[in-house]
Amino acid sequence: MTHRVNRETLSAGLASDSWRAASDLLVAAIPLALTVLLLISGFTPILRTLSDPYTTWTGFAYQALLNKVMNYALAVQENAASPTALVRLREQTLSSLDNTLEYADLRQVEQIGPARLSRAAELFRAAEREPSVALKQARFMLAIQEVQRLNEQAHERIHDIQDLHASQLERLRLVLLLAAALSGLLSAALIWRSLRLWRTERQRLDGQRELLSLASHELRRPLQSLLLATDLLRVAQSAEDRLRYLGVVESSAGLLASRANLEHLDTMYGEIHLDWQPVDLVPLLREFEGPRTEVLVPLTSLTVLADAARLRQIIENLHENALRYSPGTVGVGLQLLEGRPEVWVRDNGPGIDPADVERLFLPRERSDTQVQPSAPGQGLGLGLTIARRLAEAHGADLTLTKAPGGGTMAVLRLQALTHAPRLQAEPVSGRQKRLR
Amino acid sequence: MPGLVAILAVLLAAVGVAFWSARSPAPAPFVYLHGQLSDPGRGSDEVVFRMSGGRTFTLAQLRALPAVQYRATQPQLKRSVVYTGVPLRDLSGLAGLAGRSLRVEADDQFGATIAPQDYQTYPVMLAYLADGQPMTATQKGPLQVVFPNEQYPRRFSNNGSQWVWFANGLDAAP
Repeated sequence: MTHRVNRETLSAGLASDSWRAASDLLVAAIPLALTVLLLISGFTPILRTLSDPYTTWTGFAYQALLNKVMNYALAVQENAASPTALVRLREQTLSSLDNTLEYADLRQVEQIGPARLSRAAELFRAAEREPSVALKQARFMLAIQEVQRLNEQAHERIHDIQDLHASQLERLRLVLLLAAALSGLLSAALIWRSLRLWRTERQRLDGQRELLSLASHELRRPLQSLLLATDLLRVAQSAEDRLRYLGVVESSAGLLASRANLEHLDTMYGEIHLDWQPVDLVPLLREFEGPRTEVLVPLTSLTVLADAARLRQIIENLHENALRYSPGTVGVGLQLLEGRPEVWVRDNGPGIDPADVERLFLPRERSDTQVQPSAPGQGLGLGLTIARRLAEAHGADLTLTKAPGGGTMAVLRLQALTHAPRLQAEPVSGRQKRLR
Repeated sequence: MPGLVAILAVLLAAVGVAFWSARSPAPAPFVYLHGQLSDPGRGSDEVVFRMSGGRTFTLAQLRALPAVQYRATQPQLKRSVVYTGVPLRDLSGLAGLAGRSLRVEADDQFGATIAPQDYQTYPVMLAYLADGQPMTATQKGPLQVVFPNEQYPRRFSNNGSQWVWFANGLDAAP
């Protein structure tokens, strides 16, 4: 049953894939189809006009008639042609005088002026019937003049047609321009849309990659602690040591678990969501005490509203940087300045150039004056980026300054104690304030 | 996707072939009414047609040549008529002008050039009968160049000026 359902789902999926491919192809073919449609619909009437034999005539039939009438009149006058030839000329002339179908646009030509083909035929026959030789020539002249006027009218008609053709060519140009504009516009729109989609997708992928880098950076530290603690556990001599290392294993595993939720990368390092709670800074900072770390905190507790895990992450990153990039002792301390709690981490390294400070908060940037990390290849230059992002989510300021007496001092100025509850209601978005 | 493109290309090609074949149907071979008949000789008949090289024909001599017959519409008279006459292909052969452009002259000093791709491929004729009767001057006779414009309307719909009436001679076009 399940098997059959799967097969049906699969075939439905394949069908929808091929349909999508077909519809993509159809959408891509829209500019082509529209251009062809426009060209055909524009060209067809123009072509019909331009190729219509009744609008492309030359007026030769009218001229040929004049030639025939004049030739016949001349032959009669000169009396030189044989009777057979004369009859043939007469018949040929009459065949054209009596055939209205021989003349293109005869009705329109006759509307242009007074000359009429039928009158020319009547005048020709009247001349033929005229017995007087002198009058015969005068009557032939009348017939010739009528045909000449008809010729003139035909030429006017041809000019009208030429104007019509010119306007059709103008229209043709317009259709071509429209087609070119349409296809160009559609192509431009499609290219623009593709580029935009491609860019959006690339930005999304870059964002995703950055979040993954940040997450992997933050997993590295607890993982190292975990590995170290398990190694030490193996060689621990006393029960007390074993208990201590187990504690480290436990806390590192807890941190790993909390930072390994890769499905929620965005809420961890992008649009950061904080779990606000009262946090006592004194024990939190005491955890950083170590062979190279001196912690200076007041004896009383100092509680702020913060996300304990994220606050710890900030200080971890500052502390790690201080250890990595400076020799000697590192100081971690806490003070209250103008009602705002300040956590500071100080090293005695070469210090940093003030011009470099903002650049150091960018992903994968390191100070030129920083000494090389003790373990090459470790640290991706993301610690400060994460620290500042998390600090901003807390509404805190994170700054790097030259410490009095040398070295670098990182200061995290948390919100004034009275302001902290407001942050619970309106967490500051890390991404909105992200430095780029 | 490539399959669809291929299908589209094949369809376009088919449409193109159909379009072009509709535009110009393949010409059928000439169908003769009769072959060469015995030469009646000139007698006292009037010479009605002259060809380059000095060859002349009376009407009876033209009628003895192999003949074709088909219906065509005379462009100037607008009448559909069954014409009978000699294919220009055969006349051009007799004049030694086969495959060259022909200049057909008329009694009224009209003339037209007829291309070999027309008269070699299609049964363009020098007609002497219309509906079985000799053609009068009113019918644009006695000899007239006729094109098969009913069989091949697309090719010969707009060539009225090539229908030479009162035809009286044939020469090579310059």
